[in-house]
Amino acid sequence: MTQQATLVEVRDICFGYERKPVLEAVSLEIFSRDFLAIIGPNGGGKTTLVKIILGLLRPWSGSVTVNLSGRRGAIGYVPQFADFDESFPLKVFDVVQMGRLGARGPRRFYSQDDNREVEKALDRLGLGAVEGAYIGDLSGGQLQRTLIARALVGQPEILFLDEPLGSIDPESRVAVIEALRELHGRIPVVVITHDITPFAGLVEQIACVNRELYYHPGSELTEEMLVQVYGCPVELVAHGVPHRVLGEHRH
Amino acid sequence: MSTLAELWAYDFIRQAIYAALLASVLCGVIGTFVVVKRLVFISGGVSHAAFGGLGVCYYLGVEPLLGAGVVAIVSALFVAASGRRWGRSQDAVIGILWSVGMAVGVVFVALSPGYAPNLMTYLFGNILTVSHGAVMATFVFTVVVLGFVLMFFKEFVAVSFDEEFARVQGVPVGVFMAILMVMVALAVVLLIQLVGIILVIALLTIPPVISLTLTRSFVSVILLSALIGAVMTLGGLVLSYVFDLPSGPTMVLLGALLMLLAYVWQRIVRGDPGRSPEGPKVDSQDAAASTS
Repeated sequence: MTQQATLVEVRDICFGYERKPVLEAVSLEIFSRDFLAIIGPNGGGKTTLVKIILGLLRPWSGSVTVNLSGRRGAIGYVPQFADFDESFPLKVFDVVQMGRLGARGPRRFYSQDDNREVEKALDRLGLGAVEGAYIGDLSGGQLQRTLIARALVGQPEILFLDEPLGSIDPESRVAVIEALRELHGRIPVVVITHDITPFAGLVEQIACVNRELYYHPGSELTEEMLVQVYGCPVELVAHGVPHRVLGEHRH
Repeated sequence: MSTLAELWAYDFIRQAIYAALLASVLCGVIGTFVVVKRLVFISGGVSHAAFGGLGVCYYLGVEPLLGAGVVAIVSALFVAASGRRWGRSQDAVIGILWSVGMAVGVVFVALSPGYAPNLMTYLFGNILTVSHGAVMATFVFTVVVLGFVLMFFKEFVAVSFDEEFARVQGVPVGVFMAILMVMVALAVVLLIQLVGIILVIALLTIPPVISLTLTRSFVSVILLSALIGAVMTLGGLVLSYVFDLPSGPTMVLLGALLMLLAYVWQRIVRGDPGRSPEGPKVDSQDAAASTS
């Protein structure tokens, strides 16, 4: 195995909203070939951790070191699509174009190069036919793919996705998984998910976040590992796996 | 048309027409951001808080719009910062600024010696009293706003749509939000002269809301809003002259009528039931695209 660079190093982070701690003594390293799944119960701090890495939230204590090229747009981010205002007057093309913001820089309009990149990203996600559609007319899956295209169009060096398969149609599910498979190996991918089953075969590392972080390297998704990982009190709903509630964990 | 020619002969009417056209451009550009970024309540709070500064300056014998401008800018920036720090309680912060500003204004106007004939003008506006200096100030401000918005159009749209993504892309979101808030505050103060504090929100919201029912591309919403703003202000001016009505409320009522017509046109003529979560989706095209 070749030497891998540490792209993100999170060291001993504590963070909370108001006075209530959400993350405590969290450390995590992300390497250049990782496909990391961040799992854990709702309110466990998964999204908060990613927002700290992205620099959107400042931790109470601890440090985040990001070793990327430093150019604007080096980090790709796909937020949860459910948070969007669907009545916003924008077309699919316009939203994806925003992914070129960092590359273009201020005081300049988007260029032909930008638009070519946008077309490529739209094709990759199978959105060519709806590029002129208003985002309010999209299905959840189409909007999700639009947000992934927006993240990819800036040619990120690492990609973070927050629940990319949350309540989307099977068609989009396939397109998203395919896009991630294609990225895997070229750039590290970090997926926040409540269900890792659809990512089987892709996920190589698992971090379980429930105020603290438990890290599980390795690509084999064995039954024991699932039990170990979901050692946190979490409901596991998966294809072919009966709905289970696992016991309290003792770490 | 003869009415218009008759009106054009008066200098104060010409000033009013210039002011109305400039206000329409401001409404189109700033109002669109106010509506899509959901800053309507903030704008309401800022315009009412501005009355506090106006009242204090009135009492001190200083130009009241100066005080209104300073208070509007400070309260707009304060509200924007409070949203970041206190999240959901921003709502309450706006409500407090709103009522305290009005109370301060009314108290200071009451303390001022003599009768206050201009009070109604500030509350409900009178476009016919707009001075040449105010028109020039509005012109300069409109040019500055257009310059900023043109230069940073993609950043303003991105910040309005998704602040977090814009920040990850290296856009200084705080700076752009501050610029947007200052533009809203100054626009509110300048529009106060036309329609007054109480009705200024109508001029910022009605044109974009009508535009959004007719078109949904960002640029055309801005352009159409400016056009609708012009119809509202100039039409309101003519109607108020013909029927001897106060100009500010006439403009707002004309806007409300236009909104009703746009709604009827959309529902009945175009047969569009409006957007809903269960509305028609473009899945058929989508299926075709992803199987190819």
